[in-house]
Amino acid sequence: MWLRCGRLLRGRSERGLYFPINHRIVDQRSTPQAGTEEADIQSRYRRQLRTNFTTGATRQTQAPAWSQRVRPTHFLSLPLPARCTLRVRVKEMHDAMIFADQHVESLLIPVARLHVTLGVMTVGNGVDAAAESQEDATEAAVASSVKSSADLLASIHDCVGQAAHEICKEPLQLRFRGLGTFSHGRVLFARCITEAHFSTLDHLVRRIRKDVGLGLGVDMKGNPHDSYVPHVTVAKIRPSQQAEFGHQIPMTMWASHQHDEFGDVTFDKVDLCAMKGQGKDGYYPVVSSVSV
Amino acid sequence: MKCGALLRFKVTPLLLLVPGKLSQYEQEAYEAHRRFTDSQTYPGPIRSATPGDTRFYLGSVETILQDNDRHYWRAVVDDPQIQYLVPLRIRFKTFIWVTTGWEKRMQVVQVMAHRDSTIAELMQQVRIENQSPYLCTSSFKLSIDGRELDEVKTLADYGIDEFSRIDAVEENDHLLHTEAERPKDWNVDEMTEDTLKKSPYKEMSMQPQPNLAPRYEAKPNGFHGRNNYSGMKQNS
Repeated sequence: MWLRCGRLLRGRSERGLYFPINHRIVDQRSTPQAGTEEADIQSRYRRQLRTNFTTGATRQTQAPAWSQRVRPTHFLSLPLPARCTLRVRVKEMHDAMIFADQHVESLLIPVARLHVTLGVMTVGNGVDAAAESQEDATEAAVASSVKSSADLLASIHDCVGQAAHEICKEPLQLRFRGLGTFSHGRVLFARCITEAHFSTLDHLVRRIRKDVGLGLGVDMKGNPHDSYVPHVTVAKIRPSQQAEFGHQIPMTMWASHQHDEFGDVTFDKVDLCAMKGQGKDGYYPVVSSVSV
Repeated sequence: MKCGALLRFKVTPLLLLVPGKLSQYEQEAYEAHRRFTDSQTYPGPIRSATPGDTRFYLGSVETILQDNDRHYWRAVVDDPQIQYLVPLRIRFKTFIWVTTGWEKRMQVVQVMAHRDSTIAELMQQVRIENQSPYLCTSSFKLSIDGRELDEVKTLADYGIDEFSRIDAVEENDHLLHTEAERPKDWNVDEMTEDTLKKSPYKEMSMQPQPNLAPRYEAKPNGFHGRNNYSGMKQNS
């Protein structure tokens, strides 16, 4: 008996602090008296205190409520060049994920569709404009709405071309490392880290957002003065899959790849793509493209 | 004059805790959020101007604040946000050994439930979060004000927010008034060999060891007077 107690005591003092620092937590969300006398409140608080670095959660530009209700239709993207390490490594990562769990195959974005998203927008088509009349650009011309949205796309193309011409002097070399998640773990993406030509890209994105969002009055899904987190979406749970897969991509699926290196890619085109439908060889339909 | 001002300052935080004020605050926050989402011309927040909370602050203890609250002084009123993870508190009853007997107390398990999770998911999360070996030993059901919650419904169906009082009713809770279900107390009951091998009594170790090994809290018999603790005043 002595021996057992001795072992207990020794174990306790050997392992570390008597009251470990990471257990010293005060929860101020409950009323101050509650924890002391009425009841003791227990929880695994470390789960709430996990940081963004651990969970991979990333703050994307937040769309206001009115623009969250409409689906985005077009997006700006940097299409991947024909041969690049990013595509190969994402393919490898997808294979590893599928090998670990076959069910996740439908969550993964096909390799042909990989791109760097620079911004998402709702360019009002006729139905949207008639129903919600939220954009003055389209509201003015409900009758010839198809034509107006085509006009709008053309002027967006002009803006993007001008911005790209002024800001990017050379092809953008970007570096991708690590995975992150958007919208509470629903979207998994490869991060574009702030090295190489990232700041040029950021200037470009800000400029485009300002021109398109403020100048043309397009709904850019977020404040036009804000910047956008460029990312390569790798996997996501679509609303139709939510019954099957739940709200968030399980972290076990990507935790081993969380800090993977995806390599450098040099981009020389900025595309304006539509979200619906198929373009050539499995990519999104490209509305217009600008070479940098 | 000075005294009056001082008094008012002292009274104000107390007033904030009054439940009526709390519900008023809730209601106003809800209305503000609804009006906020109704607006048609809001351009959206700017991320770099809406900072999150900091993990590094003065003081030795780590504090968890409300998620609209910060560890630094932010005079600006931020946009009303939807709480995606709601801190829900589930009240269990536990028996605590206070050396003169068992005491029935409230123990709260706090979980962060997703806003549109079902009750079944909530219960599952409670089972996961719970760290006491004496709580979720049998199957339990959640109830609000004594009414059981249906497992397939979601939190929104019952309008459960972080302020709602959720109780967990375990399987034998309705039998706890009987002697058979109540845990045995070695001050009163006989502890046989096989009872001492079973769950709570085994690790409680009735026979005192030299270091009085698992040392429980103690409440003397006359702590509450002749009657037990009660919400209402008893004469005696």
